[in-house]
Amino acid sequence: MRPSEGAAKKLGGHRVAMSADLMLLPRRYPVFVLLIVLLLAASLITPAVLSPENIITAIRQYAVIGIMALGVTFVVIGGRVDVSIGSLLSVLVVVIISLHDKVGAILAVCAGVSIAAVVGTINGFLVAYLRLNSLIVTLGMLTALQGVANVASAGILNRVMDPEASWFKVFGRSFFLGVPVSVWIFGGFALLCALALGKTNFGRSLRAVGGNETGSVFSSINARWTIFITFLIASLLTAMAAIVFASYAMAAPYNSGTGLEMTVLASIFLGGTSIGGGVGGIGRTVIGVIVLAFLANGMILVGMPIQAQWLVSCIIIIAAVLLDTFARRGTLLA
Amino acid sequence: MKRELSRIAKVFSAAIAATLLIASAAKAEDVPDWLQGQKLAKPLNQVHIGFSIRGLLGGGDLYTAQYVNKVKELAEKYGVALTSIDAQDDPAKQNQDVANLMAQGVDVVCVWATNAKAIVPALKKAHEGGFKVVTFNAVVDEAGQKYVDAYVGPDDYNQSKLATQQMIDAMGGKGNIVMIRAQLGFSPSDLRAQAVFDLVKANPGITLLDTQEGRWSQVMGQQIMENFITRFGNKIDGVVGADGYTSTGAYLAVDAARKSGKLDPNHIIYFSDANVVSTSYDLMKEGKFPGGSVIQDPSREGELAFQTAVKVAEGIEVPKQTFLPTPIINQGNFAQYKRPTN
Amino acid sequence: MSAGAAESMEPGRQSTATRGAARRTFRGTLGFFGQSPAWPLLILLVAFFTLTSPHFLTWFNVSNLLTQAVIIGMLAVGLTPVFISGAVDLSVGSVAGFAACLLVTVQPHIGLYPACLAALLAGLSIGLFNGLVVEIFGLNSIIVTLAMMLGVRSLTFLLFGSKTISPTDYALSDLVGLKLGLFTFDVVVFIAVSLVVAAMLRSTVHGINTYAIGGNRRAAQDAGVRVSRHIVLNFAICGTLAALVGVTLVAQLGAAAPVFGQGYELLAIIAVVLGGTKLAGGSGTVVGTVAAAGALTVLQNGVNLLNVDVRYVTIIVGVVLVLTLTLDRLLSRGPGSSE
Repeated sequence: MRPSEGAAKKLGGHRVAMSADLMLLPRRYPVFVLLIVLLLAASLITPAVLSPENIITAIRQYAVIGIMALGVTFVVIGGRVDVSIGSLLSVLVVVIISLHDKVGAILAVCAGVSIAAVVGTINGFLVAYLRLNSLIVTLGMLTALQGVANVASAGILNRVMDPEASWFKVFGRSFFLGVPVSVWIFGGFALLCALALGKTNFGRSLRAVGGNETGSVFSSINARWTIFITFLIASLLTAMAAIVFASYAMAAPYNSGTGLEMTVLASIFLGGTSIGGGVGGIGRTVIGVIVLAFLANGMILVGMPIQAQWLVSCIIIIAAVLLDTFARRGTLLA
Repeated sequence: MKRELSRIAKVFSAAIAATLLIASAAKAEDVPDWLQGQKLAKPLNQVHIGFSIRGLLGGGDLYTAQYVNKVKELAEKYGVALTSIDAQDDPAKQNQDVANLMAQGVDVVCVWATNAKAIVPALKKAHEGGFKVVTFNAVVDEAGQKYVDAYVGPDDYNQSKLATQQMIDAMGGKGNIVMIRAQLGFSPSDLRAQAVFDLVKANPGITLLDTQEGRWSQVMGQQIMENFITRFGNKIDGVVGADGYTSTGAYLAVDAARKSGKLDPNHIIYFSDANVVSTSYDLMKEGKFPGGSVIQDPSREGELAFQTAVKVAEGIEVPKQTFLPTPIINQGNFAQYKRPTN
Repeated sequence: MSAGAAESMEPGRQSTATRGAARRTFRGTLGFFGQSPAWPLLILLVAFFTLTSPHFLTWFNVSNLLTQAVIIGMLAVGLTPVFISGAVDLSVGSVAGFAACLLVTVQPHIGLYPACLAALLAGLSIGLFNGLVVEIFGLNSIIVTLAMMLGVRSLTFLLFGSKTISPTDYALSDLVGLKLGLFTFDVVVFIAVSLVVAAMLRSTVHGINTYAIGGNRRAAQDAGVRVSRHIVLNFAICGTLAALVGVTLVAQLGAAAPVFGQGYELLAIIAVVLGGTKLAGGSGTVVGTVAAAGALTVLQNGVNLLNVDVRYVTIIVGVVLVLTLTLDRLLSRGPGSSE
């Protein structure tokens, strides 16, 4: 905490503390400033960029990625990675949609969550207890799950016959107070995860394990359990994302989640969390997701040609990381 | 530790063995009617077809999956041995796949190329190695034609041209359109997009407002269309999707925008894509899909592909090129055609 | 890697001393194979496929295998020093694609061999750029190279268009087609490159420093090692080898498409880590990487020869990967760091 924040809080005035915090926001999270600048620039070309509808649309289009990113943040803080989430999403969406018309939405969701739990358990066990390399394990899981999604969907587009009739549509298609339910879900889970990370013993152990991995720490049972749980969290949150996705699409091609893990990881690293670093958290991930969401949305809205979009993404991502590092370190050079 | 080792080794080998048993033996059947009266070089159940598929993943369309399933189904039915390898839309891998098929000594090498030019060395090798070569669905480059014994397939360019022309005619040759194409750099996607570009050039009354990339996916089609609507609003008169899934997604976005007032409900928007799927067929039935699409039936094509491959393997003459018909389908004539299963 | 001492600290373990000794002997006899799970996997797979498929051990197939291993193998070999030094390079696939397109585009103007040189230079420059950005600004190599992966791919499309380009002169393809027994020219180049990189890692000051930096960057810095230079050099080498892969692709396929190399970085990384190089850095060998690339190629090839349903192939590859790691861990039960 910076001295000025502490001082503001000691003064006791609620209003004073709040404004002090807000003032520090741009300095703490300069990526926000970058984002605002970009949005303003984009709005010069297409004014609709800044319309409240579009802002909500942009976030909604990345809600699924955002929910997954929340879960993977835990894994990354613990010093590991999980790249199996994309394929897991594909499998879950296929399962949920194909079961929806047969056994009803509730059972379909339960089936999805159970599968996610199993996958998370396997990942967690292999990485935390057998101490295998998390990248390879989850890469192996990614390949295996892709195959499972192929086989399970067997070339037929699974579809819910009457989407409007099902209560299941609430996750992906409904609005609450003008904001899509999926965005509420993302926001709600973001808060929950932030609390879990910041206020619980689990969160504190996780930061300790992630930041300091000597043999003695690792031989304690607590550390293994902590890492194990992170993988379970990642998979279960992917299940939530799958529910939202399935509800939105009401159809399941077998590749819904293919490649999403790249975007998820990009949003986490963009936000400033590093693998096993002491730095990072839910807030940073949320920022990363939002930046990428507006980037994707903005590029289409200004009519940027497809070939140039990746180049622009590259430049903006590097700029964002530079800005963030500068803010944290105080100097641009290492 | 020894016990652990042997236990694990047993599980490992059991897993491999079990997986391999899944490739089960097939039952042979009598000579089918499409081979009646032909002299066969060898009995059907001794024929071995090698099939290099461009990719089940990557492009990610159910069309490919259905096509491949049909071929497999027929191979099992007639007792023909079939080895199929998925190139995952990677031209380098497909090169390797063809070599692997040759290593197995198949009777005919069938290739659904992911890249028309990059496949040529592989075809050359196969041809010079004495293998018969049949290409499916994707026309290979000029330079490779001399190594090919037969081609069976539709033509992405023409399909897209037919469908888009249909839409332009329905629009009276005037209006603004947007395109949601599939990935850059992949043959089917490039060909379909190119047809649209060419038609726009040929029809001065039509303006292409923008082109963005989807992924043969309903969800992406919907999201990109949402963004297009935010940007262009009621200026949009027509949407070209990469395939039926994309245009279904686009329709959903249009529908939602009409309900929320962003789009004028009385303003007609036309849809077009290069292959109809079950969802877009339903939309045509409900009169919500002015414009239209084109039929590309993966099962029927898989069947023709299989028959051609067997004939070539058996030394029976086949035409050098068989272009599959892809009739147009729209709100006017959909009733003539069966609802697609994909 | 002394499993014995640390193990005896764990409660409930009996006869740790003898177990530790047994394992050390086992590991010792495996010699330099012991570091990496790739060798046992490779041998196991070769044995398995030889027994189950009559086509596997044929002259034709083995020759194919070697050629098939070159692409991912060379990428992985280039990545190995980068990984050992504790960094990551996700842009290699895009660099390969860029180099391939560059080669074919400039070839009609400056000739075949200058064009190859230009392609390699391009890879070198991109690698240099990666290394410099990471080191000068102290950024995380994952996000920088991920961004570059997108940027380079974009540049490829922007500069060279989205269509496949054919070379005007097929001399390169002919060169690659030359055979010396089982080995085609590209395989020979791959072996040569691997030997050079291996020698670099083992015997040069740069190589030794690379290990030191990966093991403990701070300590290395304090000991006077010029950390940044070594890291930048490794990135430059990695970029050059990625470009070489691009050139090989043009030779093997007789064409260049801007999508070349897409997704290769993941496969290359699997090979590097499977070969025994730790993600966190500090250890790894080129030999292990090559063995792992070989194992993955054999797995792919063998599974195709056995006519396994395409949809199950991916499941099998994933399962085998995980099983290999599990087996390796169980056989070397020690509390060493896993990452």
